Amino acid sequence: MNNIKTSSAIRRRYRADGRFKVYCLAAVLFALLFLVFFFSDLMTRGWPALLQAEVQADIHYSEVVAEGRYRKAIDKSLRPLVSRGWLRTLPLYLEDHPQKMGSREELWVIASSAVDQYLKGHSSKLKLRHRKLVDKLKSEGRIKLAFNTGLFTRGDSKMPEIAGIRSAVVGTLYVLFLTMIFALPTGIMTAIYLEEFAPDNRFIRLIELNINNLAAIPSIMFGLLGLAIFINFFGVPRSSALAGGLTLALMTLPVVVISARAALKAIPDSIREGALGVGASPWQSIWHHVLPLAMPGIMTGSIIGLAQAMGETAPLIIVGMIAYIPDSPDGILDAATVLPAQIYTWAGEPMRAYAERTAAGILVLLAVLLSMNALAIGLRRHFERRW
Amino acid sequence: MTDHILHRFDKDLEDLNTHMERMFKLVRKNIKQAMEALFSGDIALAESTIEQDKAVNALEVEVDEMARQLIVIHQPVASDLRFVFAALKIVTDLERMGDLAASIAQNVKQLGGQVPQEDFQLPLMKELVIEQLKAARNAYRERDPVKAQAVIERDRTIDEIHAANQRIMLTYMAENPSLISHCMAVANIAKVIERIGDHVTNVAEMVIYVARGHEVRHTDPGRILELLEGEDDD
Amino acid sequence: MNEASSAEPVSSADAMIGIDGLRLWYGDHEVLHGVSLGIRERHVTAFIGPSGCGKSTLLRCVNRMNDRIQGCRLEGSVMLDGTDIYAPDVDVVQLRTRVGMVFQKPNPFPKTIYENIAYAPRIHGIARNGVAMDELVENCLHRAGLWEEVKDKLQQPGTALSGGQQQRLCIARTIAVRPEVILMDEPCSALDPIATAKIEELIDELKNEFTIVIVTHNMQQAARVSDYTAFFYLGDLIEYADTSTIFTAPNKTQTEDYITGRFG
Repeated sequence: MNNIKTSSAIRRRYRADGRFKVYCLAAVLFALLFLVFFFSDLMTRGWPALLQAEVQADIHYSEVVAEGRYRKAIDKSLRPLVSRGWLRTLPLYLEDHPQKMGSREELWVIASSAVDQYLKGHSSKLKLRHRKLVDKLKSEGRIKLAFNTGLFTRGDSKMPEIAGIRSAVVGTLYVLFLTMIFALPTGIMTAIYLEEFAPDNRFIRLIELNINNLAAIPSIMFGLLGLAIFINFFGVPRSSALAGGLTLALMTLPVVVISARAALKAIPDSIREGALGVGASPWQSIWHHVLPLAMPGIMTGSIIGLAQAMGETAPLIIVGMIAYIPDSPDGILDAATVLPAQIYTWAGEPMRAYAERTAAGILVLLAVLLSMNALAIGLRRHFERRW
Repeated sequence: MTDHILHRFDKDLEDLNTHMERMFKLVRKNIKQAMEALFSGDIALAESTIEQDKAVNALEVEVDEMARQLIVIHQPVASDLRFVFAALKIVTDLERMGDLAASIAQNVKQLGGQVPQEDFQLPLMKELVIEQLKAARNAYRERDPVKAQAVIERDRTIDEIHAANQRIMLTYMAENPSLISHCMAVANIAKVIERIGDHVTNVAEMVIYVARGHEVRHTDPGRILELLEGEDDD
Repeated sequence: MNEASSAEPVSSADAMIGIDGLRLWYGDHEVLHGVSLGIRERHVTAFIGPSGCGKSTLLRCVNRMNDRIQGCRLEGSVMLDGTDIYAPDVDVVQLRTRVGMVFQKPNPFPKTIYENIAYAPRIHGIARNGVAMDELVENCLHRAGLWEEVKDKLQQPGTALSGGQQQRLCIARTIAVRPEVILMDEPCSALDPIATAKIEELIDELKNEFTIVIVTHNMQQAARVSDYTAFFYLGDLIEYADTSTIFTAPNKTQTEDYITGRFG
């Protein structure tokens, strides 16, 4: 009876095992397929935004230019090819550099978006004669596609060829910083109290329940809350990084509390008892022993919470951070915008050049988010310890 | 007493006990047989007694081995420890008693069919010793410290009779020097019977140790009784 | 020699720790029903009994480790050198420097071996960093019988040691604050026989300096290391006597049944 050779029943079981494994693998591949599709689509759309057409032109810094007729700075034939947005900056430039007055300069200047799109082979409203001119200049090497540094160094603009993500990135940094300094200490302290000190009574359980529920509330509600409390009640300036930071801090708080509590709960009681057993006070046992051990876990959760906040748009729209902000904010009370909001704005623009920039913005955002997650994982790996 | 959680432990203890019982029985039989040979002058019976002592010796070795195994495997404590420890002690006494029975049988052969004269106290001593052996065996079976104490108490009687017997024989030898060699042999046998009584006492002392954990060797029987009565509350 | 009676083996005059009529509740559940016993200075006292008998709970009353447990309240008194440790003016942190504890699972701090020892003296101001601390660390490791094994790796994490070494590190850490009493809660239950033997050897040495109370499930261990043994069952102290009496001729049937392995 106890035959250890394979029987048909055993073989059937193995086949069932095999099938199950295949289904699971298929699910993984399916998810992977979507990811690959998503990324390749973004890459192909966003990639062109990293290149920008530039024209070699002779700039003449004259009185006329300083007076505001900036189009006179270059030769008439080239004028339709050069970005008006760029030309518009010349009077201001001359004001800052008066020694250049009257001089001439050979420069690579930003081409108009029509030229840009034409060079990239997209449909363009460039006139036929201008197309011929572009072709000719290209064969002479006086027009080219160069790396688009402007995307990272310029703020938003109504002209796509000079629109960049800089102001949005600066805004994001402000908001994220504020979120961090509001949400992290409060969240970690809350977690320490709830996990280490709070008695187990109805009131505390109510608080715990509420915190857990907060994490599940739609983010737009936090926007409404921020609007009501910070802007209308406390009078924080609308659209400011402070308003956005406080609102996102509210949203991140429950995530930080929950992850910090989980990290503290994972520290075995033997560590606390060991410290208490040699006469450490409760505060010392937490500060010297429990918290350092829980820190990687707390940081991981917090970074993931912050990354989530960074990608958030809805609550920021409510507090007015969707405004057109061409210049980087100079402080936390200045009007600012954030990367996701910028992407959202650009996505609404009809021009083809904005579509490119939308995709490029998404790529930047994704790159930052992924590196933040990688940092979280790295931190966890690095500090992971056995006790 | 309830069983051990480990049934093998109970079984091993039971096996040891069975061997002890068997040895008790065999030793008692050998002593009785030696006495019978003595009073009937039956040399063949005496020889068979000597032969049977080998079985007693073999049993002693067997019990020793079992006790050793028990200690190694179960590491007994408390009453179990006391029982195993006592078994090792009792078995030595039993083996010695077996030897003494064989030595009586040897003396019977030397007497060459002669039986002890009736004026001597030997029959009385024999009766008492066999009675004592039976009582000690019962006390052991029932782990009864009171019965064991009675055994210890009665050993004094045997000692007294033995002393009286010696005085009688001295008188005999003085009056009738031709009886000296016979008397010497009889005195020897009386001494042996008295020794058997001492070993029985040792067994009884170990029974009290098994039952109560009191170490009562070299203790006055009256004091033993006080000890036993002093703890009736549990 | 054997006056097996219910008289206390340790007279109250001899007792360093005097537990009197101690009743303890976790919420509504009464865990200890009025336990009284005296623990003798510089001797080893073992608490034995089946799981849930209250022996660990009682042990944790002696350094008020039970304070951490919510809903735990007690009646009666625990006296340490004549002071009721549950009196309102007693500071728990101070108490725990006098009554150290070694736990069931070795729990060295996830820091270096050196730091494990140095931590407590530093927070209590017994020694500052530098030569004095180095000496203290070496001395504690010596007394815990660990110095030879770790002297070349003081800067390695304590958690990298073997289980037995970790436990000895925990003992070294405990004696670094110079307690008078060391409580041990099943200190060998996670260790192999060799490591266990080393700890037992250590206990034998430490009792010259410290009063040791040990909770153990291993009865042979209680028999080997302790001078006095207390048997607990269902929250009651059933029998308390010198160890040889408990293991050769216990007075109570419950003790007998437990130690001989007859518990149903």
